Amino acid sequence: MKQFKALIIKDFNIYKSNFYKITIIFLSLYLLSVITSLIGYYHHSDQGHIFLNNLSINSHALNGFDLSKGSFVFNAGLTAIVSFFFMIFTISLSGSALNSDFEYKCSLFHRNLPISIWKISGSRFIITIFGSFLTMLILVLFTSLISNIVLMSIVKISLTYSLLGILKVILPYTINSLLLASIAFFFSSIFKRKALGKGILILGIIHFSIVYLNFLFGLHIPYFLVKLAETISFHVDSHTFSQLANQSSSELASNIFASVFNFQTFLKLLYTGILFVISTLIMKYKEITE
Amino acid sequence: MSNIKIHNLTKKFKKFTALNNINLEIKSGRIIGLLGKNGAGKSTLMKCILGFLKFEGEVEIGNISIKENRKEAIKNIAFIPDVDGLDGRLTVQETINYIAGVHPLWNELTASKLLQTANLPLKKKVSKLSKGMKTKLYLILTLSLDVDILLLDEPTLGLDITFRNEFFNTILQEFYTNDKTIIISTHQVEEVENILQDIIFIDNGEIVTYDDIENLKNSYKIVTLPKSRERELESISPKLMTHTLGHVSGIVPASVNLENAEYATPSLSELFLAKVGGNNETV
Repeated sequence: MKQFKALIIKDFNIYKSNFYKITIIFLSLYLLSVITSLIGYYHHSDQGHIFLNNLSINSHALNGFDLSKGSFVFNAGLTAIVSFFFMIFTISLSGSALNSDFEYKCSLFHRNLPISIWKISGSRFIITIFGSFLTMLILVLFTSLISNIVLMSIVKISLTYSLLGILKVILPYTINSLLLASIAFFFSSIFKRKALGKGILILGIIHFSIVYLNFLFGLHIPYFLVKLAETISFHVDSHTFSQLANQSSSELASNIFASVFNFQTFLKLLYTGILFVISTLIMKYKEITE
Repeated sequence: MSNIKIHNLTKKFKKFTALNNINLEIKSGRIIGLLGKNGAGKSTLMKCILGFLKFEGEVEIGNISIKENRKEAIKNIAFIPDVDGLDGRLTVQETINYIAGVHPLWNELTASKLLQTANLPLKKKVSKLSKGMKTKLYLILTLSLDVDILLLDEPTLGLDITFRNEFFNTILQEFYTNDKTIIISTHQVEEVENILQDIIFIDNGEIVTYDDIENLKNSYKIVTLPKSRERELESISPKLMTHTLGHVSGIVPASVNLENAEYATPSLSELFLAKVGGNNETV
């Protein structure tokens, strides 16, 4: 356990600057949007007042809809934006998880230590993938907190629906990111440099080869990329949003969990586990050369 | 005490045979030099011993097979490939904490003692250190491990003469005891010649010689004759002939005795050339 703890700390020290950088980028964007909003407001203060005055809501027009439920949609949207960028970030980070020591010419230094390859691989997996998820969660909560505080001045906010909105988006995004990042992690065990680019290129070549073979010889080889895209489905669950008015928070929560904790998710987690095991075995039997 | 046993080790890179049927039993408590031309197989042999490369045959460290249980086998070995091989993304303190946390043979007392004298900038990234500082750090990390075997693969490559001397002096002072083994692969044989006890000559992936240096030096001598007696020298087939102003020299077996000749003890590089062939530029 002492060894694994030391590995986790070491890997965090290696990757912490990436987490800081993405956080700074997001915070800078927030700051930029605040500054531009303020500039816009003061330069066109007349129109600004008109806009704010028009925000008064006609309760009859809402047909009894509890406006606080709007915070569900608002927070789901905000989370989707942050999660999307973090998905790309997680994939790019895990795409160099196992080969970065080669790039920094220190693989002999690390691999000469009496540590099980499973611990080395596990530590990299945890830091690059779960480290990104943790940073994403912190940023999502921060974004939501600030946005909701601002929104509270205009409309009624519900903390429960806000959190449910976050969960509605963050859970499927995290599970899908986990699978995609595991594929990138797998690429990093195969290629020494530019693993993600090379991996995507090979997937593309395989896909178009299948298309070509199926077309030329009338074969029915399943399309791997299509299957993958189907597995990682990002479809917008319109049912949850359309039924929002009729659902209590507890019903909404059970619907969210039911849509996430199902057989499809189990399969994604299984694929992730298999990819982790294969990646580690590749590293175990790979020659260490620099 | 751990020793290294190598049986029928063959390493091929596609069609190129880098190591060909190597058999060695490296004794404990010795300082051994591994000498060979560029591409002779020195680094490949070290990487096979450490299990970095796949190979045919068997390597055992302290009776543990590197193929069957690499993690346990390498526990007792410290390896310095090149001082630039440290992880530049970590700070000095993070690197020390990392090795202290993962290596079961880390000796905190030795590390503290060495750190006190080293005066290293602990908060600085390793990549920002000078080569001399990196050498110091690598030495602290290595010498703070209570291991029995130390492998050095061209460790001082690119270092200036001051640090090269300091490097080997520190290793001798802080690491070497009668029960520890040091294997040094280096091109700069002159600077380690006086600390080596045994020598391995390797050429074209094969072990040419593995002997006690004193034995080897006592088996040969340099004989120098006036140029007029060149044919006399040639008649006894010297291993290596060199011409100097008005004289001709050659390495011959110690049993050879010529009248009115000058004799000298050959250096390690001269013995290497005599055994392996080539000229002085190859060593």
